[in-house]
Amino acid sequence: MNPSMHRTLRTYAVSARMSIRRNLQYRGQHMINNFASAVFGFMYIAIWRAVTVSRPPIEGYDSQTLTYYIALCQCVLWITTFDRSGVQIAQRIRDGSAGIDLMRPLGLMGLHMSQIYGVRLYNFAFRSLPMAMIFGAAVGLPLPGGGAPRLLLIIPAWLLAMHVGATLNYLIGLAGFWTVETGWLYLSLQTLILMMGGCSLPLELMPAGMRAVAAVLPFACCGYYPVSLYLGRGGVEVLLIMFAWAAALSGLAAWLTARARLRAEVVGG
Amino acid sequence: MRRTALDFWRVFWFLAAKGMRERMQYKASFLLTVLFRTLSTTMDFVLIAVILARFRFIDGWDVFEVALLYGPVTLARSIFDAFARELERFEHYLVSGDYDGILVRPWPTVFALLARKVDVTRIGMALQGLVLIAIGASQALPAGTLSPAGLAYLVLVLPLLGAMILTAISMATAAIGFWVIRIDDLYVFTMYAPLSAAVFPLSIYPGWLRGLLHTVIPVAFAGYLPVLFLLGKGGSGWVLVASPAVALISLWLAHRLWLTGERQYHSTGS
Amino acid sequence: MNQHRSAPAAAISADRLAKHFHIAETGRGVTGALRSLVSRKSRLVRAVDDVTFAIEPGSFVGYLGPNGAGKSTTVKMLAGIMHPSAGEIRVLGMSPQRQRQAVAQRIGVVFGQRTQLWWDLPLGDSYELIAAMYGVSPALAQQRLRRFDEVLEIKPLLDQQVRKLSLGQRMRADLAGALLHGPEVLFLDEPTIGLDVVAKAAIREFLREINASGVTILLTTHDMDDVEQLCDRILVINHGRLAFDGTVPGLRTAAGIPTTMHLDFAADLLCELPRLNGDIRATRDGRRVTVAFDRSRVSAARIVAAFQDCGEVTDIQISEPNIEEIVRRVYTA
Repeated sequence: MNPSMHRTLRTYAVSARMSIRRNLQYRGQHMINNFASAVFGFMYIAIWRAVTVSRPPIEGYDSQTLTYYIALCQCVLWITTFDRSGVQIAQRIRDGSAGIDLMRPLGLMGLHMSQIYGVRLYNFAFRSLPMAMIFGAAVGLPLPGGGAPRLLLIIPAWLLAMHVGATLNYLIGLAGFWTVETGWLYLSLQTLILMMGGCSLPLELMPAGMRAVAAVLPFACCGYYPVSLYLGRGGVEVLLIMFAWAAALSGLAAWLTARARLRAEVVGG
Repeated sequence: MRRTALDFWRVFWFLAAKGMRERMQYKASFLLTVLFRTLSTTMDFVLIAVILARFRFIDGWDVFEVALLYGPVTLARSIFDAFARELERFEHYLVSGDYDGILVRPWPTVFALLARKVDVTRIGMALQGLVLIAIGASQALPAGTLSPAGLAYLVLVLPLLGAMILTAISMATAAIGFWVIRIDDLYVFTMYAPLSAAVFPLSIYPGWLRGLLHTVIPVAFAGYLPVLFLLGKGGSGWVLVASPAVALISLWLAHRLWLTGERQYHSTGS
Repeated sequence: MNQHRSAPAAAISADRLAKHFHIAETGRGVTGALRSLVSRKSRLVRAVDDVTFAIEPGSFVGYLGPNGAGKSTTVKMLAGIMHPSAGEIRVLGMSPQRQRQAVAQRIGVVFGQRTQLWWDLPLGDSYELIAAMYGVSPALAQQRLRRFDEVLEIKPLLDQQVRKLSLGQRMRADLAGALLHGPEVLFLDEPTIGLDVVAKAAIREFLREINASGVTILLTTHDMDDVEQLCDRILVINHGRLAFDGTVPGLRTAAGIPTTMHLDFAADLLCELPRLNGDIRATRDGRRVTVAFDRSRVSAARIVAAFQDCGEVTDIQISEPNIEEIVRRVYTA
């Protein structure tokens, strides 16, 4: 590994660590907030239970499965969204306080992605896991469906989900080079992920039109795909879809980063 | 100089008008804001509509009946959001010392606090509430499950009662801030979660939550119970009298808590 | 018409005013925290302790004190924000604690770093709102704003949102806002902090005019120029107690820091340095003599006369002690 690459990776590690440390100081508040967030999960579980009571399973989903589905989605959401890093990055870009060296576009993306990753890693430990424990205690959570070999599918899937979510967030940050309304973009993204990502209802239970749209959008990577794999549905093809989206979005992000650099040079940072 | 309620309302309308004018100057941003707010709450209903398209009933309520519950609560929320939102920022007032600036005005402190901000764009949500009521009524009126008088109650009376109850909850939560200061997180438990829960028939929730929403955080009286009766699904006519009573009592209780908290503030500062 | 007018009642009065806080003592670490749950030991902090003063209507009073001395606590009690632990307060004859709204109607308050204007609205709207809240007719409000504009120059700011104003502009705007309803008493908390020289000058001139029109002003400040240029009376509080209550010259005397006079001579001195019975201390450095003296004990003229025989004086300079030094002296007394 040549020295400059080593230095770059070290910078990313430091950036990620800073994100983690920044969030650590609020972990008390976050813990309390976990219970509050869980309430919304319980609400949807209640809705699904009421709706599926005394009915045969539809598309393989019964009341119990849906309960698990909603609970797991609540957990995975903390690593795929619920993170305002992108908006903050955009704000710093706009008021120039980021002091980024724009001569190295890959540096820009790597730096910010590592920052976002830091938040996601923190969230996994201090949000997703505690949420899983809360739901586990309240309604029970299953172990990964299909046993140990499936972990080879599930773990990469969740990592890819984190990456897709992080990249989408980064794209919002990049939007700061072009527009002021990044707050709206973030809220829109979150709504899209919650709706089209299958976080409130699995894709199979959507009306045909909605399901078709959701299938061609990347948002399902942030909820439906990772949770389905965990519950024992789907196989390698799901992982391949997620990988394709991750690659495509990363490519888009790299290209846009280069264009952002050009724009900054023209506009004047 | 004695202040009358009319004086207060005049100032609120003044603020609303000024706020409107100010927002309208940035037309694009204003429209975007209203549009987005309307859309995001619509999305929530679209979700339940999609679920019910497949599953038809949620605990005996069909999608049109749910709309008749969702609508008035959304309307109540939009009124509350437009006028009383500043209570949710109370922690900021305490931490920054801005509350002192409220105390030196010749007005009751709650009104002085609310008068700091009136956000008219929130009324966008009211449109969505009305649309939902219209959708629901389009089925319920011809079918006879809802009477025209009932519809009038849903559109005119219930949202006001709901706004009052929400204001009471918000005021009580803010009042706790006088002792504890850090209340921002508390709002999720006392307001946001119950509000999200209140738009669905409360019968679907576990007993303890149902009990909570009927007593300590009485959002049941802002939607579920009156609508239950007006749709002929249960309950008795007493609900139509109980709801206003609950609204008034909860406001009074919340205000008493506020005054107690204020005494605490006078004695210890911040 | 009643020819015999009784002495004007004090605009602001405090009688044996006290404010105590119980600060819970939490021990360190986990064991300390646990112990504090059980024992509830707390110590008493006397933020304000037995303070008595009376301020006549029309005064301009400077309220000084180191940080944590009890300044802002006192002002908060006078404005009705905090209730005293003991003692009595009267503002315009009323109790700010028991008649908060009535008192609020007749006082104005400006907090140096926080604004009471509406952040998102144009300044003119804030004034309209304030006028409406206090029951000031639009015509009267306009008239007052016109008068304020003469010194504060707020007219060009009326269309701008308050959050877009600079600190100096906002302070001027806040002042106008606080006086719009014609209060008889004005409380100012560090109004010139962070402002540039020009802004400070404008505000001081404005305050002078307002005071001249009869408004009683209580000014909390760390800026000694404020005190020197504006105040006809000074209260100094330290450790919760009044360390000084008097005039600016009186403060100088009390501090015991002497006035200094420099005499420059055309040629080397022809005499011994006079001592004037120990009322002065003179030192010589070449052709310059420096004399330290107490103005209230010996006049400058006497000193010059005493040096007549020492030679031809080419220049005389008199400098008063720096008020910062004076106040510091009083703080540490």
